[in-house]
Amino acid sequence: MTVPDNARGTQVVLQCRGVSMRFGKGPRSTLALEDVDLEVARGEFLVLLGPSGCGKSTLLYLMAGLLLPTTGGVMMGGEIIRGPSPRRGVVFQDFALFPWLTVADNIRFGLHLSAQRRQGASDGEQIVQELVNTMGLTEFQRHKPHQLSGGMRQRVAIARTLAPDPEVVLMDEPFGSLDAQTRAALQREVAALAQRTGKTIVFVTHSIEEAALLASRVVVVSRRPGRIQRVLPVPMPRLRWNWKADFAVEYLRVVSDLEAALAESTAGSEA
Amino acid sequence: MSAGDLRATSWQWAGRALAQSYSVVLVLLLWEVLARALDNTLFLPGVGAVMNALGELARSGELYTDLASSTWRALCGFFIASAVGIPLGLVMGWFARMDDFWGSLISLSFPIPKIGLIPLFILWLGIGDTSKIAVVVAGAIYPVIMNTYSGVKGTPRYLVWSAQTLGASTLELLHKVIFPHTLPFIFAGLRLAMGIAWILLFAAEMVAATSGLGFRILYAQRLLDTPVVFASLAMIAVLGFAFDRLLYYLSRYACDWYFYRNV
Repeated sequence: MTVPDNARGTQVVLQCRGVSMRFGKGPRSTLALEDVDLEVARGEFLVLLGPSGCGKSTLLYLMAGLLLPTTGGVMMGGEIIRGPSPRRGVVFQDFALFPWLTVADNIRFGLHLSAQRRQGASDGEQIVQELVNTMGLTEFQRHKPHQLSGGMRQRVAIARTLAPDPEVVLMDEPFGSLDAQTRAALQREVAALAQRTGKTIVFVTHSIEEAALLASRVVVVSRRPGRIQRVLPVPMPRLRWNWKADFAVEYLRVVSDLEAALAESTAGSEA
Repeated sequence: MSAGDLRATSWQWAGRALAQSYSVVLVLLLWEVLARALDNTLFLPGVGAVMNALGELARSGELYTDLASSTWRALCGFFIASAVGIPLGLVMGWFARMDDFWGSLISLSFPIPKIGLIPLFILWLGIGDTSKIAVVVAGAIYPVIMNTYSGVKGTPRYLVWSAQTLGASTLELLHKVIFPHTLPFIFAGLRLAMGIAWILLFAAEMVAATSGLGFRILYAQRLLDTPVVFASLAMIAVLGFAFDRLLYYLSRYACDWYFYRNV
């Protein structure tokens, strides 16, 4: 079930209503997020951009159902989220692969759980093989995570998240611990993947360039307590590796807009 | 341990095995020198006298019945302690209510000397195998529970979250994530439990038994047959060594990811 159209004629998949998040109780508690209202549209590539420690990852975990808000509610298809669900896959920064399982078994993990069996996932092996091939892991199927490079590990983590076919993919600074070249390669792959599958993606980063490269819409989160500072649509084609002059100009404009918004958010909290 | 160990050639293995035996050979040599200097078999028999005693025990068949009954009792106790301790440690680590319920009982009963329980177990369970197995279980279960518990507590949050967002139920989480992640810790607990099992078993056999290596030691002491005492102690050491190595290599095999990770 999905909520019908909003103004842009798109379906809302995820919805945050007056979401605040406080960690701890009493005078020592910290307010991580304050009064966040946000809608995630079907098929969009939403980037949550903000300085480190601003609560953007917390917002992502609230959407995943891994944390529950102190006040307000996060909804998917009109239903309040009360816990994690395979409908919302998560890719973590440090891969979080199961180190005792091979690459193929990691990817297979979600397909062999009772939640998936109830939905009657057929052709599990076919799904696994397709993901192994598209993520370039064919030679490494029988390897264990410790035998892989960081980039390869994150490829496995992405494949593992995609295997149960989630409606929304939530990515928490997935390329934060990778070297520049691997990072660039994976950014391209994720953009292509989002384009090809049409999946809704919520992507957390503190990199302006990454946001400008990937997002169809950027939400700038302010310094703690995290509030939504600005929302910037990025009116560019989704695959941005076509460096014609006018395209590059557009990209730089987005980058400078985001820089301005981030500067604003930083200045605002220090005042 | 270095990465090379796992890919070592047989020559390197042989070299390391040799290196690991130097200390043992040195102690045996010192012992023999001392024994020859004293020249008193009752006080300190030499290696030769002990080997003779072992041969004598083997010929009479007593060695095999002792080995069989001691091993049987120790392994029974060890397996019962594992079968109860591992699941208990898992649920205590994961469910706060289980921790609350069992935690204080375990802390209270852990320091009670298990050797002091031997008379009670004999009173309640008789003088046969059961009372000895009970003593072994009572002592060996603690390291299993505690190590399993620590392993569960140390499971990274992101692994749990990964499994939950992929759709794992609580049971699946315990079985497919918590248990495999805890396995190296469980093995550490099992190795401790195995050592404790042998120690307690011999204590129990020395109090009341008609067979077993512990019984043999006490019997030989009464006959002032010191070489047999030494022979029995040597057998205990060899048995304990063999089972500890077995568990160690089993853990290396079952938890290869853990040993690689910590290279």
